[in-house]
Amino acid sequence: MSAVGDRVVTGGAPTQRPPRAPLMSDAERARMRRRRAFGRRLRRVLRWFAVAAMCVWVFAPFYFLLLVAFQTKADSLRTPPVWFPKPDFSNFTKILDHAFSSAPAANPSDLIVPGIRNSAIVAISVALLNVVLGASAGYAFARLRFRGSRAIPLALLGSQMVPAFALLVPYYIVLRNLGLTNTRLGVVIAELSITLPFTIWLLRSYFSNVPVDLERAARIDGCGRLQTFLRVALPLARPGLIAVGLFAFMVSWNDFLFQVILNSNVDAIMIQPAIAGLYNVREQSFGIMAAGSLLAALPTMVFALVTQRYLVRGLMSGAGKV
Amino acid sequence: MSAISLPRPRSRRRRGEVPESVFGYGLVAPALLVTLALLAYPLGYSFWVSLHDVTLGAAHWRWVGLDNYRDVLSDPLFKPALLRTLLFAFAVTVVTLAVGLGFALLLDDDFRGRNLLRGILIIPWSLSQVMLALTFGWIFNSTYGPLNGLLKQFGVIDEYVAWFADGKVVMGIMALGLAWNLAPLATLLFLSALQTVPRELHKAALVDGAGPLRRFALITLPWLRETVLIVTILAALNGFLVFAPIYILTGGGPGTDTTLLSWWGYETGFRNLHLGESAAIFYVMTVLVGAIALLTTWALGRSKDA
Repeated sequence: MSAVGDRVVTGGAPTQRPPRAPLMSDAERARMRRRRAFGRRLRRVLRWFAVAAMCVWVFAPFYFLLLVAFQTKADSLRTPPVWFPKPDFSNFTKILDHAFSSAPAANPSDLIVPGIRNSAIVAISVALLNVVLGASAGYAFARLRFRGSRAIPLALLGSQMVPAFALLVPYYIVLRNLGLTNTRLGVVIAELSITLPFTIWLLRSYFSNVPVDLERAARIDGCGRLQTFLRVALPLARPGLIAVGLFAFMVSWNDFLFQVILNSNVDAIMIQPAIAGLYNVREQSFGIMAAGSLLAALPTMVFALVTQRYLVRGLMSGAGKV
Repeated sequence: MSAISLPRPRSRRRRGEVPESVFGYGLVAPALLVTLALLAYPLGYSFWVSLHDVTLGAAHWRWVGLDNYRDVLSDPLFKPALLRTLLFAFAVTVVTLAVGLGFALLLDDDFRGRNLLRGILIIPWSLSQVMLALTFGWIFNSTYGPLNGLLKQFGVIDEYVAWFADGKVVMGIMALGLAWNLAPLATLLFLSALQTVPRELHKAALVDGAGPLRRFALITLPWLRETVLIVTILAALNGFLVFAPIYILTGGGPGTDTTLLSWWGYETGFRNLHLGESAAIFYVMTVLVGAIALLTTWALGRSKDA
């Protein structure tokens, strides 16, 4: 783009320029062109370096982790490290073996599979609740007028600034009194509190961007309010609903604070505390630690790749927290 | 719409149909009740707890008024913990802004592989803070870590370095990890803002002979002001509230070198079992977060006027 653009602007007919620009001699013009060519080449080289630096920044930490996850234990303890090992899957098989045995967890790596199971149940529940509750509220705030339909969304946005820490002590006390610590339900409740306001806000702006014509037509054709919402508006908002569902899943899957404080029991272990526990026994096997955390990160990595477009739009619409 | 002005459909109420406002309240009620029960109520309850001396397991709550707050604010740990937290948040913000903006400017250009790079850039952001703690804990491990191995192979160091022995270095490692986690999102935000910069402005500046640096400073940067503020609030709050890396990597140590407010509150409540005082610490944090958010929002509003 710039190569062509530059020539057009600087090398074009001088008469198009404002008169204050002095005319150049041929020699001057040639020198100018050489300088530009050099500048372009320099730019390309610099960009190549920058792209390389960027790849290192993004992937080097990841590569180090993959390296040790796919290494035999003996290789992982070698100094200097083995930089290009023969792929070895023993760390993963060791973790996944426990999925098919009913033996009680004997060491921290046995908690990963139960942790993934518990977290999956919790995160899916949180996602579904977010979609159901968020869709109806988001639609109402976007389309219907009633007292508070302007102010309440702003209050919800403001509530995003309440850090999870402020809720920690009360959740711990109340859920303990109700016998809900060390249950999945307790974590679902806690995660819902930090995801729902953001979901409502996102879906409100999503519904406002869907053209209203179809809903009007449905109304004129005799659809009731509820029918219009369920049959016309909801199907149109499907991409948005999927995006907030995946987003709520990611937040509750990745959260550590509530998981570690509410579910400290081994029977109710969640995935993040489960892989955090591997750090304490890292000296026994860095490979297991790396493999376990990679398994735990797989779902969110995939979902992030799918939802990034919506995410940016949602954040630009004014919500300031992830 | 036709030229004949029909009454707007939404204002028309059919026989036997619920009014718009009733329908609206019906749709909003479940979500609102959940939010009130799970957010507003605990927030009030938290304040109530912070006015008591509550020990875990004990049935009796002793009313102490604002004593918990006095104790927290006069605690010798408070000031250093607050300063460390602010410094940490500042470091995370600066690195996230610099890296995020740098990458965005790079990806705004057209080159081979750009779309692929842009697509997979998000991966570090998708990882949990636990994951980044484990990753950076492994990289900087003093006996087997790949960084030590790399540096020694290239002759930068003679002996393996015990990175985690020095509190300042650990803070740096954690800030780097968090910025690594946040930068992709910042990049995407900056990129979407960069795409709205009008081409004509750049062309005009080019005609007037402005170099790339001047064009960046005078056109691009002012245009990105709002995004800079959004990223700032995002990074600052994430830095301010960092927890998992401290929990996993340092436990607040060595000494109290990495005891930030979040860890201090956690330790007070869930290790030393003083829930009332812990609630007070978290409330102070909440107020500070609110202040940071309000300040940035205010700046955001001002930037729109300017």
